[in-house]
Amino acid sequence: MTGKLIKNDLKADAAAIGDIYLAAAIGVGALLISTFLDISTWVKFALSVAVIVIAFIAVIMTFVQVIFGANKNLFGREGYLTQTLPVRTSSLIFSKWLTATIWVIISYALVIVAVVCVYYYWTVANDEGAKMYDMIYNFAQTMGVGAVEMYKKYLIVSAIVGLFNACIFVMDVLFAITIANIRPFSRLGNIGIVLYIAILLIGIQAASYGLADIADVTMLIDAKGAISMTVQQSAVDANTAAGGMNIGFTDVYFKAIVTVFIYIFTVQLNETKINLK
Amino acid sequence: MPAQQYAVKVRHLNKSYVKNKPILTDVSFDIPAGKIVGLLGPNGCGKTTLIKILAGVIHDYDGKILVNGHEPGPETKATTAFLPDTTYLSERFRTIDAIDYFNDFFSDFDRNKALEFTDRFNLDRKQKIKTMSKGMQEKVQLLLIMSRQAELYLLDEPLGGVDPAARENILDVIMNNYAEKSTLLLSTHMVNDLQSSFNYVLMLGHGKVLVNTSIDNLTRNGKSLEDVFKEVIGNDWETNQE
Repeated sequence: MTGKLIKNDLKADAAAIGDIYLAAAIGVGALLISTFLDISTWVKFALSVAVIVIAFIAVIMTFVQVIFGANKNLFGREGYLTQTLPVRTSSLIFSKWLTATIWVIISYALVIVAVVCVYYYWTVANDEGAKMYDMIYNFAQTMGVGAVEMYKKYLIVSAIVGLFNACIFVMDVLFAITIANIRPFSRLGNIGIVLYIAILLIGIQAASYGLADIADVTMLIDAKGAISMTVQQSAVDANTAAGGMNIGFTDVYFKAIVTVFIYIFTVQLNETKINLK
Repeated sequence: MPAQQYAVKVRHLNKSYVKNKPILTDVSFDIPAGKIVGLLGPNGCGKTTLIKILAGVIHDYDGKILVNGHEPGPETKATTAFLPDTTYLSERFRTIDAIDYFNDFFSDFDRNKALEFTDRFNLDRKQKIKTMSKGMQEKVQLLLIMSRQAELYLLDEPLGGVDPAARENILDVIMNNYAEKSTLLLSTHMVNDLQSSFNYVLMLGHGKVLVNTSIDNLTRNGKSLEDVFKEVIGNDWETNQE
């Protein structure tokens, strides 16, 4: 049943925001095709701006759909169907969380693809980008700031942390939506949803920073690309001095634990406190 | 009577949306299985709230509810067909999408029967819900619900706001298509239209059960259901005959 829920939630989101992704794909396609055509710089510029703007609109639309689409489907009129399906509440919430996370990640990926394409369009396609890459690489090597392997690993870990934060964000949204549909918090309506999301995100981030002051778990990526974890500031300082890079992990652990509790609490609230209007 | 012979058991049910303004107060009753039950009462007496609680879309209440022996949850939802008094289908759906959605989730759903209903109601299978009138949307919802072989049907005002000709058609669809041996709980104000269809009556008023008995018991003095309704609601006459 969870699989069916996920399939239908993905379809519902695609129906709501699929058009903007289609527009983005067409824009990127047009951009790449035009590299083979002799067109004016102004047209190239307009096409590039259009692709970037469409990508950011897609992100905004995705966030709106994630927040208000889930609210409508769970607690609005559509809730009369969704909440009477023979599935566990935990499955309902999990499906909403997974599908929304997928769309958020797709929206991030779209922005990255759009930026990379525009960059390629203006540089690599004209041989300038390749020269620039070589210049940056040689400069980095000359300065001794670390091997390419270190940057690769840094980017990979940062991307994973970014995806993780997308998962956290979506669960916070589902919790905030649930709260916004429970008395007395429901009085604020849609404004309440946005407000509770903001309070939750700021609160969790503030708590993460506070915890990092007490015990700062850090991932060290040394200049050769070797990865290790530490809680000692002296090790972090030594790695930095040796040209390595560091990524804070306290908030990752903290948010992971908090998110599990938020998921359980969201399911609990849905099973005991929700009244469909 | 063994527990499984009751479709619904309610004990000490209390529900309020606003503090100190209860909708249902210490409500207890049983609904025998296999009956067509009229849920009657004036506006605001808690009929819709009761149906929503049984359907599992209201969770915030006190008391004990058993639907076919289970507390409201996935087990009861698998065997309960709920028709609310509002349109609820996603606007992105076409009729055929809604049918496939029900077919996906409800093992008791008869897709062929739903398609037959679609033709009978002159509905276009490929028409989007958002382009339909409210009446057409209600027809789609009705055909979805009545295409299930459920153990319990919860129908909230299915005849509300419908013209007399359509009312007869809808009533005909309901009465001729609900699953055999299942229980049908139908809330309505159309007391006269439905008197002959009911074989059991649950009457609510002032947040309490005023009548919970068979239609034969209720009308054995030669009174019509509407007369009894007016008498009970008008005089706040409380009875609970078996």
